Amino acid sequence: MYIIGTVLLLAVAGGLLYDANRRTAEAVIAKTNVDRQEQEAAVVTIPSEQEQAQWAANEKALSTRLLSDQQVPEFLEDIARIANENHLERLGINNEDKVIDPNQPATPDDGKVVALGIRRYLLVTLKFQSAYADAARFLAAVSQLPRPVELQTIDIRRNAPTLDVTVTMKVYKQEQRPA
Amino acid sequence: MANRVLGIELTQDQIKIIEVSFGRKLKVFNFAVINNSNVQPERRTEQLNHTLQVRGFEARDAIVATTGGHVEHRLLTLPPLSTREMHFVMQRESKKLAPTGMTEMLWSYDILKTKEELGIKKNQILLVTAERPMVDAAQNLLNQSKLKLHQVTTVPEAVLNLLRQTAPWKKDAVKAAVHFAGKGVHVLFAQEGVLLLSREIRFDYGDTAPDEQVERLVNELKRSTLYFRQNFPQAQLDQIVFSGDNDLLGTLATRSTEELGLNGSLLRFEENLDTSGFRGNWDEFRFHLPALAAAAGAAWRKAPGTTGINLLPGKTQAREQAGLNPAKIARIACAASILLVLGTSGYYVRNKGIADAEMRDAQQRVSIAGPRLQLARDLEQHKAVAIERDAFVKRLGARADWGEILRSLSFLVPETTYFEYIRVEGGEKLQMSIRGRVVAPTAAQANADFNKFFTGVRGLPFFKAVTMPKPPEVTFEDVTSTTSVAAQPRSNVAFEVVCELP
Repeated sequence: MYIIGTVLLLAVAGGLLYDANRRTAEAVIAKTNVDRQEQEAAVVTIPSEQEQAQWAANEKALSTRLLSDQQVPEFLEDIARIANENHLERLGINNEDKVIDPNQPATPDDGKVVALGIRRYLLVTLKFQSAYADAARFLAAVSQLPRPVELQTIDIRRNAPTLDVTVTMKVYKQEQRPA
Repeated sequence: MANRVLGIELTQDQIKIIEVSFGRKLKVFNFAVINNSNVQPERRTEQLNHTLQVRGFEARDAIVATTGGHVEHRLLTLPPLSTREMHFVMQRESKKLAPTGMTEMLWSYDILKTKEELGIKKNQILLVTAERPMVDAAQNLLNQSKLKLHQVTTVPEAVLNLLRQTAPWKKDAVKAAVHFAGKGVHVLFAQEGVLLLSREIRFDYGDTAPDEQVERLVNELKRSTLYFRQNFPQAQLDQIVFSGDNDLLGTLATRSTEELGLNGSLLRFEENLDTSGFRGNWDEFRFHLPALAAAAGAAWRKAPGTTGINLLPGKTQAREQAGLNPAKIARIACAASILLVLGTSGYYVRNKGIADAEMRDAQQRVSIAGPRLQLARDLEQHKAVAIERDAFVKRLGARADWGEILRSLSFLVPETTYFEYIRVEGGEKLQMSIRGRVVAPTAAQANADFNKFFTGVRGLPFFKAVTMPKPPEVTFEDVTSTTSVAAQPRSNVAFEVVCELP
């Protein structure tokens, strides 16, 4: 009986020591963490409300600037009009709807775009022949369109007496709204 | 302060009691000498209780030195033995000592001294055997009193113990001690605290005159001395001390010199007593001091009940097993564990309190700092998104005036130069690559024209940086003239220029 009692008492003593040391270690860790958090909180600067309001306004402006599905034909019409005005020949327009997978963006640029909440864009490829000066005017006019257009590549090759030009651009679109 | 103990010498007609406590000296508190020769045996306990009460004894623990019955003392010299072997040997030796016809015998032993003989360690052990009724009588007497009996020893062992505590011992010298206890005389011979021989002589004084008693006692002492010298011929016996309750002690001490050839004296030990706590008549105590020798010797022990001879049944065996008793070890371990748990509990409660307080404090501080940090983190995220958004919006706008850039380039191109290929790459970093060729009649002109073009491009305000990814390739080629004139060399510089836009 005494032996069992001794074993039990030793076990109790061991348990108490273990628990006491565990609690002490937890308290030390908690204290260290809170000290660090307080130091971080002391030096952190909170952006002003004005700054935050500016962010919200910018976000809203971007979302309104994005192209809706209904605006795609208008955009293509604008392109064709500018091409005519600048005497482009053999104009070919090819457009393709693209959706960025948020989990697996194809490029780092796509990743950044997804982070802004934009997942859809129209990849437009233009091919035409023109004189050097016409091509220059056409490109200037397209880049100044009030649309969310990002020029990807412009290839200009000499094909005397004219130039062969290929332009790829991304036109960012709004999210599809449920019908 | 040590507990008080009663040392009791128990004989058939007298009970001598001394109340002491053990210290540097033996501290004496009280004493009593009870003559019960005329008291019926069944009323002796009553008489004892009465005396204890009237004389104001406070001690409850008692050690009895008794006599009567067959008691034998034997000195054994043995090599160190295990507890089990020692028990076996003592049991065997005690059977040898017991007289024929003894129905029940008790035995006990005490290791008096350890010495070396020819380099071999040996223990000198005093073995005592006694008839059980003698011990039972002592137990019966005290069981009916308020006293607790711890130890029963013999009168010779008690006297020997007193001599060991009080008398100086010359090397190899032997002392004879004669102690009168009731109708018996105990004669013992001891060397350096070790009992060599003990004899008990029964004496019925009757109506004999003192002179005749002295003669008879002297004769008995002569016989005992002779017997001792026969058994221990090498022993240097030179001193004899007398103690006990006999009026002839002084006479015997005086005559021992001429009759026995030994220096005789009374056993004195008052110098070894601390009388600061004594209550009673000091002269009376001094008068009875020789008679109290055995009682004092019985009580003079550091650990009553565990040192010296103890004839109480089972006590010797208990002492043997004291060092190896698993139950005792378990009890001690259990007690130690309880103390450990108590200590640990205190440590636990203290540490838990401190840790809990620190945790509460930390939680309170976190509740203040945490939300601010979380808000800062959220806003930081918003800020990062806003920066990204601004950069993106910038990319969407007219990053470059392509019309103006291409027009400016056309002004810079020399007549000898033509572009093969212009490529613009958008994205985060906007850059334009121009690949072309300068064809001139001479190398000098070709190089000059290329340099003029390159310098001109670098001077345009649209570009952040203008570089050549590789050096221009300069070659000469022979072109056959259509007019069949001799072939003239032409210089050809192929170049690639990369213009980085803001």
